[in-house]
Amino acid sequence: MTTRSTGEPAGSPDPAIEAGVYVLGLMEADEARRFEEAMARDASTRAGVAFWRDRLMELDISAPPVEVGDKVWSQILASLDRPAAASFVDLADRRGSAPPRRGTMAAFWQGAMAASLVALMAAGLAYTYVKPAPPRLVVVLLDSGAQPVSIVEAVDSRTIRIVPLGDLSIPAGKSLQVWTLPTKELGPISMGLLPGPGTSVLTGPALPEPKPEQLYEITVEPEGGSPTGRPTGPILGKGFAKVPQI
Amino acid sequence: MEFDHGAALAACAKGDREALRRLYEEESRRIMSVALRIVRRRDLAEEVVQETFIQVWQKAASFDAGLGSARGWIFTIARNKALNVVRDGAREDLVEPDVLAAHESFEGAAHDAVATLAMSSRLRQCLEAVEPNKRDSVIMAYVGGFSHGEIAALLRVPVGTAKAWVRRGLAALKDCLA
Repeated sequence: MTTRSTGEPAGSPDPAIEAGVYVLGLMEADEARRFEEAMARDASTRAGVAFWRDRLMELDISAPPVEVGDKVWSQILASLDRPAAASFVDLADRRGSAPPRRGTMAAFWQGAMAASLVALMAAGLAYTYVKPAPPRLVVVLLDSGAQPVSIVEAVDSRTIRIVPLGDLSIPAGKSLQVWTLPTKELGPISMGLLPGPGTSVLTGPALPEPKPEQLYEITVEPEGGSPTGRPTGPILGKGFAKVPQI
Repeated sequence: MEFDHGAALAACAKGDREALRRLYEEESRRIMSVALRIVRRRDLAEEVVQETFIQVWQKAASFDAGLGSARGWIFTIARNKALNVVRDGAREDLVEPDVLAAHESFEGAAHDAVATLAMSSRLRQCLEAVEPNKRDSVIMAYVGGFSHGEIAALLRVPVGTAKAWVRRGLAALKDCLA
Protein backbone atom coordinates (compact mmCIF):
# COMPACT_ATOMS: atom_id res chain seq x y z
CA MET A 1 0.00 0.00 0.00
CA THR A 2 1.35 3.43 -0.88
CA THR A 3 1.29 6.38 1.47
CA ARG A 4 1.54 9.86 0.08
CA SER A 5 2.89 12.27 2.66
CA THR A 6 0.70 15.13 1.45
CA GLY A 7 -2.31 12.86 1.68
CA GLU A 8 -4.70 14.94 -0.40
CA PRO A 9 -8.14 13.43 -0.98
CA ALA A 10 -8.53 11.57 -4.24
CA GLY A 11 -9.18 13.72 -7.30
CA SER A 12 -12.32 12.02 -8.60
CA PRO A 13 -14.34 10.86 -5.62
CA ASP A 14 -15.60 7.27 -5.70
CA PRO A 15 -19.35 7.40 -4.97
CA ALA A 16 -19.14 4.31 -2.76
CA ILE A 17 -16.42 5.91 -0.66
CA GLU A 18 -18.28 9.24 -0.50
CA ALA A 19 -21.28 7.32 0.83
CA GLY A 20 -19.00 6.04 3.59
CA VAL A 21 -17.74 9.54 4.36
CA TYR A 22 -21.36 10.64 4.60
CA VAL A 23 -22.32 7.80 6.93
CA LEU A 24 -19.29 8.55 9.14
CA GLY A 25 -20.72 12.06 9.58
CA LEU A 26 -17.65 13.74 8.12
CA MET A 27 -19.26 15.93 5.47
CA GLU A 28 -19.63 19.65 5.95
CA ALA A 29 -23.26 20.83 6.01
CA ASP A 30 -23.38 21.99 2.37
CA GLU A 31 -21.53 18.91 1.16
CA ALA A 32 -23.97 16.69 3.07
CA ARG A 33 -26.89 18.57 1.55
CA ARG A 34 -25.59 18.01 -1.97
CA PHE A 35 -25.03 14.36 -1.17
CA GLU A 36 -28.58 13.99 0.14
CA GLU A 37 -29.90 15.56 -3.05
CA ALA A 38 -27.98 12.90 -4.97
CA MET A 39 -29.43 10.27 -2.63
CA ALA A 40 -32.94 11.43 -3.43
CA ARG A 41 -32.28 11.10 -7.18
CA ASP A 42 -30.08 8.07 -7.42
CA ALA A 43 -30.73 4.51 -6.24
CA SER A 44 -27.06 3.50 -6.35
CA THR A 45 -26.17 6.36 -3.99
CA ARG A 46 -28.87 5.10 -1.61
CA ALA A 47 -27.51 1.59 -1.90
CA GLY A 48 -24.05 2.92 -1.01
CA VAL A 49 -25.45 4.53 2.14
CA ALA A 50 -27.33 1.35 3.06
CA PHE A 51 -24.14 -0.69 2.62
CA TRP A 52 -22.17 1.39 5.10
CA ARG A 53 -24.99 1.88 7.59
CA ASP A 54 -25.69 -1.81 7.85
CA ARG A 55 -22.02 -2.83 8.02
CA LEU A 56 -20.84 -0.18 10.49
CA MET A 57 -23.94 -0.60 12.67
CA GLU A 58 -22.20 -3.64 14.13
CA LEU A 59 -20.00 -1.23 16.06
CA ASP A 60 -23.14 0.33 17.58
CA ILE A 61 -24.97 -2.84 18.49
CA SER A 62 -21.91 -4.38 20.10
CA ALA A 63 -21.53 -1.32 22.39
CA PRO A 64 -21.72 -2.44 26.03
CA PRO A 65 -25.13 -1.30 27.38
CA VAL A 66 -25.12 1.70 29.74
CA GLU A 67 -28.04 2.34 32.12
CA VAL A 68 -30.22 5.35 31.28
CA GLY A 69 -31.71 7.52 34.04
CA ASP A 70 -35.34 6.74 34.91
CA LYS A 71 -36.52 10.22 34.08
CA VAL A 72 -35.57 9.94 30.39
CA TRP A 73 -38.48 7.67 29.47
CA SER A 74 -40.99 9.82 31.32
CA GLN A 75 -39.64 12.89 29.51
CA ILE A 76 -40.04 11.12 26.18
CA LEU A 77 -43.63 10.26 27.05
CA ALA A 78 -44.29 13.84 28.13
CA SER A 79 -42.91 15.11 24.81
CA LEU A 80 -45.24 12.86 22.84
CA ASP A 81 -48.15 14.60 24.52
CA ARG A 82 -46.81 18.00 23.60
CA PRO A 83 -46.77 18.83 19.88
CA ALA A 84 -44.41 21.76 20.53
CA ALA A 85 -41.64 19.22 20.95
CA ALA A 86 -41.43 19.04 17.17
CA SER A 87 -39.98 22.51 17.00
CA PHE A 88 -37.25 21.58 19.45
CA VAL A 89 -36.19 18.48 17.58
CA ASP A 90 -36.26 20.23 14.24
CA LEU A 91 -34.20 23.17 15.42
CA ALA A 92 -31.44 20.71 16.16
CA ASP A 93 -31.95 18.96 12.83
CA ARG A 94 -31.82 22.09 10.79
CA ARG A 95 -28.37 22.90 12.06
CA GLY A 96 -27.19 19.38 11.30
CA SER A 97 -27.30 18.80 7.61
CA ALA A 98 -30.08 18.62 5.13
CA PRO A 99 -33.13 20.81 4.81
CA PRO A 100 -36.30 18.76 5.19
CA ARG A 101 -37.54 17.54 1.86
CA ARG A 102 -40.46 15.37 2.75
CA GLY A 103 -43.94 16.79 2.59
CA THR A 104 -44.69 15.55 6.09
CA MET A 105 -42.06 17.97 7.40
CA ALA A 106 -44.02 21.01 6.33
CA ALA A 107 -46.36 20.79 9.30
CA PHE A 108 -43.42 20.68 11.70
CA TRP A 109 -41.96 23.75 10.11
CA GLN A 110 -45.17 25.67 10.34
CA GLY A 111 -45.43 24.67 13.99
CA ALA A 112 -41.87 25.71 14.66
CA MET A 113 -42.33 29.05 12.97
CA ALA A 114 -45.55 29.75 14.82
CA ALA A 115 -43.84 28.89 18.10
CA SER A 116 -40.99 31.32 17.46
CA LEU A 117 -43.40 34.01 16.42
CA VAL A 118 -45.30 33.69 19.68
CA ALA A 119 -42.03 33.80 21.60
CA LEU A 120 -40.90 36.89 19.72
CA MET A 121 -44.20 38.63 20.37
CA ALA A 122 -43.92 37.78 24.05
CA ALA A 123 -40.40 39.17 23.99
CA GLY A 124 -41.61 42.36 22.36
CA LEU A 125 -44.25 42.91 25.03
CA ALA A 126 -41.79 42.37 27.86
CA TYR A 127 -39.22 44.69 26.36
CA THR A 128 -41.53 47.63 25.87
CA TYR A 129 -40.99 48.42 29.52
CA VAL A 130 -37.35 47.62 29.99
CA LYS A 131 -35.42 48.56 26.90
CA PRO A 132 -35.34 51.32 24.34
CA ALA A 133 -33.56 49.79 21.31
CA PRO A 134 -34.59 46.64 19.40
CA PRO A 135 -32.38 43.62 20.07
CA ARG A 136 -29.99 42.49 17.37
CA LEU A 137 -30.63 38.84 18.09
CA VAL A 138 -33.13 36.97 20.19
CA VAL A 139 -32.69 33.46 21.54
CA VAL A 140 -35.44 31.39 23.10
CA LEU A 141 -33.81 28.91 25.46
CA LEU A 142 -35.70 25.62 25.69
CA ASP A 143 -35.27 22.94 28.31
CA SER A 144 -34.85 19.27 27.42
CA GLY A 145 -38.64 18.92 27.30
CA ALA A 146 -38.85 21.76 24.73
CA GLN A 147 -40.41 24.15 27.23
CA PRO A 148 -39.21 27.78 27.02
CA VAL A 149 -37.03 28.67 29.98
CA SER A 150 -35.96 32.18 29.10
CA ILE A 151 -35.30 34.67 26.36
CA VAL A 152 -31.77 35.89 25.81
CA GLU A 153 -31.43 39.05 23.85
CA ALA A 154 -28.08 40.15 22.41
CA VAL A 155 -27.90 43.92 22.83
CA ASP A 156 -24.39 44.25 21.43
CA SER A 157 -21.26 42.12 21.13
CA ARG A 158 -20.83 41.83 24.89
CA THR A 159 -24.14 42.70 26.53
CA ILE A 160 -27.10 40.35 26.85
CA ARG A 161 -30.43 40.65 28.60
CA ILE A 162 -32.10 37.57 30.07
CA VAL A 163 -35.85 37.45 30.57
CA PRO A 164 -37.06 34.35 32.44
CA LEU A 165 -40.07 32.58 30.96
CA GLY A 166 -39.98 29.57 33.28
CA ASP A 167 -38.53 28.88 36.68
CA LEU A 168 -35.05 30.39 36.84
CA SER A 169 -34.73 30.37 40.61
CA ILE A 170 -31.18 29.66 41.71
CA PRO A 171 -30.77 26.40 43.67
CA ALA A 172 -29.10 26.71 47.10
CA GLY A 173 -25.34 26.41 46.87
CA LYS A 174 -25.41 26.72 43.08
CA SER A 175 -25.09 29.39 40.43
CA LEU A 176 -26.80 29.68 37.05
CA GLN A 177 -24.24 30.51 34.40
CA VAL A 178 -24.93 31.82 30.90
CA TRP A 179 -22.73 30.66 28.02
CA THR A 180 -22.38 31.31 24.34
CA LEU A 181 -20.40 29.69 21.56
CA PRO A 182 -19.19 32.54 19.30
CA THR A 183 -16.99 30.24 17.19
CA LYS A 184 -15.86 26.63 17.43
CA GLU A 185 -12.30 27.82 17.87
CA LEU A 186 -13.15 30.00 20.88
CA GLY A 187 -15.28 27.31 22.46
CA PRO A 188 -17.98 28.08 25.03
CA ILE A 189 -17.54 31.50 26.66
CA SER A 190 -19.13 32.53 29.96
CA MET A 191 -21.34 35.62 29.76
CA GLY A 192 -21.65 35.64 33.54
CA LEU A 193 -23.80 34.41 36.43
CA LEU A 194 -27.47 35.24 36.80
CA PRO A 195 -27.76 37.61 39.78
CA GLY A 196 -31.34 36.67 40.64
CA PRO A 197 -34.55 35.15 39.32
CA GLY A 198 -35.81 38.27 37.48
CA THR A 199 -34.77 39.99 34.25
CA SER A 200 -31.05 40.67 34.26
CA VAL A 201 -28.43 42.29 32.09
CA LEU A 202 -25.00 40.66 31.84
CA THR A 203 -21.83 42.03 30.32
CA GLY A 204 -19.41 39.36 29.14
CA PRO A 205 -15.90 39.61 27.67
CA ALA A 206 -15.30 41.34 24.33
CA LEU A 207 -16.46 38.84 21.71
CA PRO A 208 -17.07 38.71 17.97
CA GLU A 209 -20.38 40.26 16.93
CA PRO A 210 -23.10 37.68 17.76
CA LYS A 211 -24.42 35.86 14.69
CA PRO A 212 -27.69 34.17 13.79
CA GLU A 213 -27.70 30.50 14.90
CA GLN A 214 -25.13 31.21 17.62
CA LEU A 215 -25.66 28.87 20.57
CA TYR A 216 -26.62 30.20 24.00
CA GLU A 217 -27.22 28.08 27.07
CA ILE A 218 -27.69 28.29 30.82
CA THR A 219 -26.12 25.62 33.03
CA VAL A 220 -26.28 24.87 36.73
CA GLU A 221 -22.79 25.30 38.17
CA PRO A 222 -21.21 25.28 41.64
CA GLU A 223 -21.72 28.53 43.55
CA GLY A 224 -19.53 31.25 42.01
CA GLY A 225 -19.50 29.63 38.57
CA SER A 226 -17.86 26.73 36.75
CA PRO A 227 -14.48 25.86 38.26
CA THR A 228 -13.08 24.96 34.83
CA GLY A 229 -14.23 28.00 32.85
CA ARG A 230 -16.31 25.64 30.68
CA PRO A 231 -19.84 24.37 31.24
CA THR A 232 -19.77 21.40 33.62
CA GLY A 233 -23.28 21.13 35.03
CA PRO A 234 -26.68 20.15 33.67
CA ILE A 235 -28.15 22.34 30.94
CA LEU A 236 -31.19 24.29 32.11
CA GLY A 237 -31.98 25.64 28.67
CA LYS A 238 -30.38 26.18 25.31
CA GLY A 239 -31.23 27.77 21.99
CA PHE A 240 -29.93 29.32 18.82
CA ALA A 241 -29.98 33.03 18.03
CA LYS A 242 -32.50 34.40 15.56
CA VAL A 243 -32.74 37.83 13.97
CA PRO A 244 -35.97 39.45 15.18
CA GLN A 245 -38.16 40.53 12.27
CA ILE A 246 -39.09 43.90 13.71
CA MET B 1 -36.64 -14.45 19.77
CA GLU B 2 -35.00 -11.75 17.69
CA PHE B 3 -36.51 -8.29 18.22
CA ASP B 4 -38.24 -7.04 15.05
CA HIS B 5 -37.21 -3.40 14.66
CA GLY B 6 -39.10 -2.97 11.39
CA ALA B 7 -42.35 -4.14 12.98
CA ALA B 8 -41.78 -1.85 15.96
CA LEU B 9 -41.29 1.15 13.64
CA ALA B 10 -44.42 0.27 11.68
CA ALA B 11 -46.40 0.12 14.93
CA CYS B 12 -44.93 3.47 16.07
CA ALA B 13 -45.99 5.00 12.76
CA LYS B 14 -49.55 3.94 13.64
CA GLY B 15 -49.33 5.63 17.04
CA ASP B 16 -48.67 2.53 19.16
CA ARG B 17 -46.85 3.83 22.26
CA GLU B 18 -46.39 0.34 23.60
CA ALA B 19 -44.23 -0.40 20.55
CA LEU B 20 -42.09 2.65 21.30
CA ARG B 21 -41.72 1.46 24.90
CA ARG B 22 -40.58 -1.99 23.75
CA LEU B 23 -38.12 -0.38 21.38
CA TYR B 24 -36.86 1.78 24.24
CA GLU B 25 -36.39 -1.25 26.47
CA GLU B 26 -34.59 -3.05 23.69
CA GLU B 27 -32.22 -0.32 22.52
CA SER B 28 -32.01 2.64 24.92
CA ARG B 29 -29.01 1.29 26.85
CA ARG B 30 -27.07 0.63 23.67
CA ILE B 31 -27.97 4.03 22.27
CA MET B 32 -26.83 5.55 25.58
CA SER B 33 -23.50 3.78 25.15
CA VAL B 34 -23.10 4.95 21.54
CA ALA B 35 -24.02 8.53 22.53
CA LEU B 36 -21.67 8.51 25.50
CA ARG B 37 -18.74 7.53 23.31
CA ILE B 38 -19.39 10.69 21.28
CA VAL B 39 -20.62 13.31 23.76
CA ARG B 40 -18.67 12.09 26.84
CA ARG B 41 -21.15 13.49 29.37
CA ARG B 42 -23.98 11.49 30.94
CA ASP B 43 -26.42 14.40 30.96
CA LEU B 44 -25.80 15.10 27.27
CA ALA B 45 -25.98 11.41 26.38
CA GLU B 46 -29.36 11.12 28.10
CA GLU B 47 -30.50 14.14 26.13
CA VAL B 48 -29.45 12.30 22.96
CA VAL B 49 -31.40 9.18 24.00
CA GLN B 50 -34.46 11.31 24.66
CA GLU B 51 -34.27 13.22 21.37
CA THR B 52 -33.60 10.00 19.45
CA PHE B 53 -36.78 8.28 20.65
CA ILE B 54 -38.85 11.42 20.10
CA GLN B 55 -37.61 11.57 16.53
CA VAL B 56 -38.09 7.84 15.98
CA TRP B 57 -41.70 8.33 17.06
CA GLN B 58 -42.28 11.39 14.88
CA LYS B 59 -40.60 10.02 11.75
CA ALA B 60 -41.33 6.31 11.97
CA ALA B 61 -43.66 6.67 8.99
CA SER B 62 -40.88 8.05 6.82
CA PHE B 63 -38.45 5.18 7.47
CA ASP B 64 -37.03 4.10 4.11
CA ALA B 65 -35.78 0.52 3.93
CA GLY B 66 -33.83 1.49 0.80
CA LEU B 67 -31.35 3.30 3.05
CA GLY B 68 -30.60 0.36 5.31
CA SER B 69 -32.22 -1.69 8.05
CA ALA B 70 -34.74 -0.37 10.60
CA ARG B 71 -32.23 -0.91 13.36
CA GLY B 72 -29.56 0.96 11.39
CA TRP B 73 -31.98 3.86 10.88
CA ILE B 74 -32.50 4.18 14.64
CA PHE B 75 -28.77 4.20 15.35
CA THR B 76 -28.24 6.69 12.52
CA ILE B 77 -30.67 9.07 14.24
CA ALA B 78 -28.86 8.57 17.54
CA ARG B 79 -25.44 9.20 16.01
CA ASN B 80 -26.71 12.34 14.23
CA LYS B 81 -28.20 13.66 17.47
CA ALA B 82 -24.92 13.02 19.27
CA LEU B 83 -22.95 14.66 16.46
CA ASN B 84 -25.23 17.72 16.67
CA VAL B 85 -24.38 18.02 20.36
CA VAL B 86 -20.68 17.78 19.64
CA ARG B 87 -20.85 20.28 16.80
CA ASP B 88 -22.65 22.66 19.19
CA GLY B 89 -19.35 22.75 21.02
CA ALA B 90 -20.46 21.03 24.20
CA ARG B 91 -17.41 18.77 23.99
CA GLU B 92 -15.24 21.64 22.77
CA ASP B 93 -13.01 21.64 25.83
CA LEU B 94 -11.71 18.21 24.88
CA VAL B 95 -10.26 19.42 21.63
CA GLU B 96 -7.68 22.04 22.51
CA PRO B 97 -6.23 21.85 26.01
CA ASP B 98 -6.93 18.18 26.59
CA VAL B 99 -5.85 16.71 23.29
CA LEU B 100 -3.64 14.19 24.99
CA ALA B 101 -6.25 13.04 27.47
CA ALA B 102 -8.82 12.79 24.68
CA HIS B 103 -6.42 10.75 22.63
CA GLU B 104 -5.69 8.34 25.46
CA SER B 105 -9.31 7.89 26.36
CA PHE B 106 -10.14 7.54 22.70
CA GLU B 107 -7.55 4.86 22.03
CA GLY B 108 -9.12 2.80 24.77
CA ALA B 109 -12.58 3.36 23.34
CA ALA B 110 -11.52 2.53 19.77
CA HIS B 111 -9.76 -0.60 20.91
CA ASP B 112 -12.79 -1.61 22.95
CA ALA B 113 -15.14 -0.89 20.05
CA VAL B 114 -13.29 -3.32 17.79
CA ALA B 115 -12.67 -5.79 20.61
CA THR B 116 -16.38 -6.05 21.44
CA LEU B 117 -17.13 -7.24 17.91
CA ALA B 118 -17.53 -11.00 17.75
CA MET B 119 -14.38 -12.87 16.73
CA SER B 120 -16.35 -14.30 13.84
CA SER B 121 -17.47 -10.85 12.69
CA ARG B 122 -16.53 -10.09 9.11
CA LEU B 123 -16.32 -6.38 10.02
CA ARG B 124 -13.83 -7.19 12.77
CA GLN B 125 -11.67 -9.30 10.48
CA CYS B 126 -11.72 -6.57 7.86
CA LEU B 127 -10.99 -3.78 10.35
CA GLU B 128 -8.05 -5.74 11.69
CA ALA B 129 -6.70 -6.14 8.18
CA VAL B 130 -6.72 -2.38 7.44
CA GLU B 131 -3.52 -0.42 8.06
CA PRO B 132 -3.68 0.99 11.64
CA ASN B 133 -3.70 4.74 10.83
CA LYS B 134 -6.45 4.29 8.29
CA ARG B 135 -8.47 1.98 10.49
CA ASP B 136 -8.14 4.36 13.46
CA SER B 137 -9.26 7.32 11.35
CA VAL B 138 -12.44 5.48 10.34
CA ILE B 139 -13.14 4.27 13.89
CA MET B 140 -12.46 7.71 15.37
CA ALA B 141 -15.05 9.21 13.04
CA TYR B 142 -17.67 6.52 13.53
CA VAL B 143 -17.25 5.57 17.18
CA GLY B 144 -15.88 8.81 18.62
CA GLY B 145 -17.76 11.20 16.35
CA PHE B 146 -14.59 13.12 15.58
CA SER B 147 -14.35 15.52 12.62
CA HIS B 148 -11.54 15.49 10.04
CA GLY B 149 -9.89 18.35 11.94
CA GLU B 150 -10.12 16.55 15.28
CA ILE B 151 -8.78 13.30 13.82
CA ALA B 152 -5.86 15.26 12.33
CA ALA B 153 -5.16 16.94 15.69
CA LEU B 154 -5.35 13.69 17.65
CA LEU B 155 -3.17 11.75 15.21
CA ARG B 156 -0.87 14.78 14.77
CA VAL B 157 -1.06 14.89 10.98
CA PRO B 158 -2.29 17.56 8.53
CA VAL B 159 -6.04 17.61 7.86
CA GLY B 160 -5.43 16.53 4.25
CA THR B 161 -3.69 13.41 5.50
CA ALA B 162 -6.53 12.61 7.87
CA LYS B 163 -9.04 13.01 5.03
CA ALA B 164 -7.00 10.71 2.80
CA TRP B 165 -6.62 8.11 5.57
CA VAL B 166 -10.37 8.02 6.14
CA ARG B 167 -11.00 7.49 2.43
CA ARG B 168 -8.31 4.84 2.04
CA GLY B 169 -9.56 3.10 5.17
CA LEU B 170 -13.06 3.05 3.72
CA ALA B 171 -11.78 1.79 0.36
CA ALA B 172 -9.88 -1.08 2.01
CA LEU B 173 -12.89 -1.94 4.18
CA LYS B 174 -15.22 -1.90 1.22
CA ASP B 175 -13.03 -4.26 -0.78
CA CYS B 176 -12.82 -6.60 2.18
CA LEU B 177 -16.54 -6.50 3.06
CA ALA B 178 -17.94 -6.64 -0.46
